[in-house]
Amino acid sequence: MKLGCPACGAEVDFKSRSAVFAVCSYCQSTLIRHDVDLEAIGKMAELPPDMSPFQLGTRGSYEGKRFELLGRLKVAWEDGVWNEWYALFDDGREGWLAEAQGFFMMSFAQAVPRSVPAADAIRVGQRLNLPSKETFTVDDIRRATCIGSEGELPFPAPRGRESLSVDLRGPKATFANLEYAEDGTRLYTGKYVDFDALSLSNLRELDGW
Amino acid sequence: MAGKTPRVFACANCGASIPLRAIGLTVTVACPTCGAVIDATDENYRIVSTIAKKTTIKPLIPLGTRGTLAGKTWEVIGFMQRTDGSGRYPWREYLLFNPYYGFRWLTEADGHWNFVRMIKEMPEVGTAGMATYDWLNFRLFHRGKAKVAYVLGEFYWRVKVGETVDVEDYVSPPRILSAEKSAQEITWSVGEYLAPEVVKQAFGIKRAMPLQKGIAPNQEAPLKTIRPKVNRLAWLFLGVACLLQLSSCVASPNREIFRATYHVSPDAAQVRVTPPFSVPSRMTNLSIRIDAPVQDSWVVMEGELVNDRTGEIRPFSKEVEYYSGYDSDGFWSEGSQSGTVYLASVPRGTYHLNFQVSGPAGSQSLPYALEVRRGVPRWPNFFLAIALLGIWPIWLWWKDRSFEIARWSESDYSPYPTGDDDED
Repeated sequence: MKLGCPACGAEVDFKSRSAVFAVCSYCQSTLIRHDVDLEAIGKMAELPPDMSPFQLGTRGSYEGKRFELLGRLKVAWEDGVWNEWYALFDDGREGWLAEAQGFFMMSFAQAVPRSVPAADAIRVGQRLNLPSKETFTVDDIRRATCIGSEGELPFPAPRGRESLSVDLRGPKATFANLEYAEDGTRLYTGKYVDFDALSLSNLRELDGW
Repeated sequence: MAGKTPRVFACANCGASIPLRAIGLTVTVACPTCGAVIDATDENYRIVSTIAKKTTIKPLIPLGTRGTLAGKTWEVIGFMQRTDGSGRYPWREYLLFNPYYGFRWLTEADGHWNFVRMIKEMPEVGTAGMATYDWLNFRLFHRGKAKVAYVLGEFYWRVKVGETVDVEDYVSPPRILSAEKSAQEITWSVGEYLAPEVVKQAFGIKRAMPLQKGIAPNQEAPLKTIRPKVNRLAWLFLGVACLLQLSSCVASPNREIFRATYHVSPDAAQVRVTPPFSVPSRMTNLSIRIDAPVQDSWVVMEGELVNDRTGEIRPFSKEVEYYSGYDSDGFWSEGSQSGTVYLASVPRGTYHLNFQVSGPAGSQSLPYALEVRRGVPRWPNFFLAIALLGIWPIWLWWKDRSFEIARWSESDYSPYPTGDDDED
């Protein structure tokens, strides 16, 4: 769906039906989509530099399914920064490709079971049974702040959006993430993936690499 | 080879420009010039600490150097010296970075190198000091502490000099599996032993490589690769030897060609002459067996095989003695009441034996049987072949074991018996 940026008039392309938020690639206006209308709610500052090999439009495949990266959230916590890339699969599925400390993880949103504890009741070391029937252990709990975003995203992610991010470790190389935010609690489960296994194309060019 | 000039910022302590080679991932930078520890996540690159540098360590591989390991390019972005709990045994760790493949570690202790990567899959730690990861069984080698003594360059976490973690190393040469436990978390990594030449070549190191001391916990035994090959070969030859022996046993007729009973004459030894007997096969061995029911006594047979046509003589002799009795342990016996001599490679022909059998002076008359057989299966050569075949594998096994004993002598968890009872 192609809409016009209310701030600069440039074309803003929504490739995902569920995207409700975008950053105009020309004027950096942060836009909220109300059906076919766009509302500018502010400006996105330039994202801090990083060495991410990904960019908007990077394509890859995961477990035999092709995807494209449409948006990114840059999240900061006390001890660093990580990237969450919004991946739209050709079959319509939505995933998240995270990069943190040199590791890549692909995860998918799950229905949040009622048994999941509230934000103020979750503790490190706690064991949770998640929908995949596997037991996950809470590894760490951290306050996270969105320090920037780009492209299109399925929820509003302005700079300063705060959440409580809980990482859980599962069997093998699986993990889960619980995100407690003002607009609700979200659960993602997935696994660690090797860079080569993602068969990526249209990667970002990195100076000197 | 060095990468393109990375982004730089000025050290708030000494003013030197500090490169950021893993910008966005780097959390802490230790200024390569003054050693100030800087918070890279802070917009103003706040100084965390400016511990006066007591010692300056110049890493063997300078920061910014690129090298190729495991088919990928890695850039050295951080350097850390750590020690055990006592502070007496230091080792060095180079943090390597590749924007596509993340971080790796290159560690060096006593001149031994390891290429290490962090793993996210928890190994299964069993009882009795075993751990399993990636279908490999690792054995506990070391438990101790690791303390950060010196840092330089970039790190993706908040590194602190003096920070101590508990470490556990498990080995399955050439791999090593390590756990680091802090109050907050446990991280696992797996390392692979690298020969110094590999590291030297990978990073184009011009300086002398640190001298190797001792055996590394996960150093591959030098005979590890040759032993299975030698063993396979030995088994193969053993199979051939068995087959040859089996076929020779099957092919050997083992047929009696002469048999007679005589008496030992009590007085003078009497020379006896057997009737002629024929050896029909082209070339065979003969066995000459004497059965004499001696009791606490002996007889000796001396004789010769005579070829009736050529007159060629093959001498032989055999002593038969047998003793038995009872003592505090019960019945005992020594010797045998029969004896056999073998004559190899006897050609076809007609033969007879000239022989005499004598016993101790004044002994009683004693009956005995003489039997000649041809084509008798023989075992000594076979056993000799097996023994010879075993020398190389057993020697290699022993060398290998000595190496493992030496390796594990550095560990508190050696599977080999320790101390005096193992030596000699």
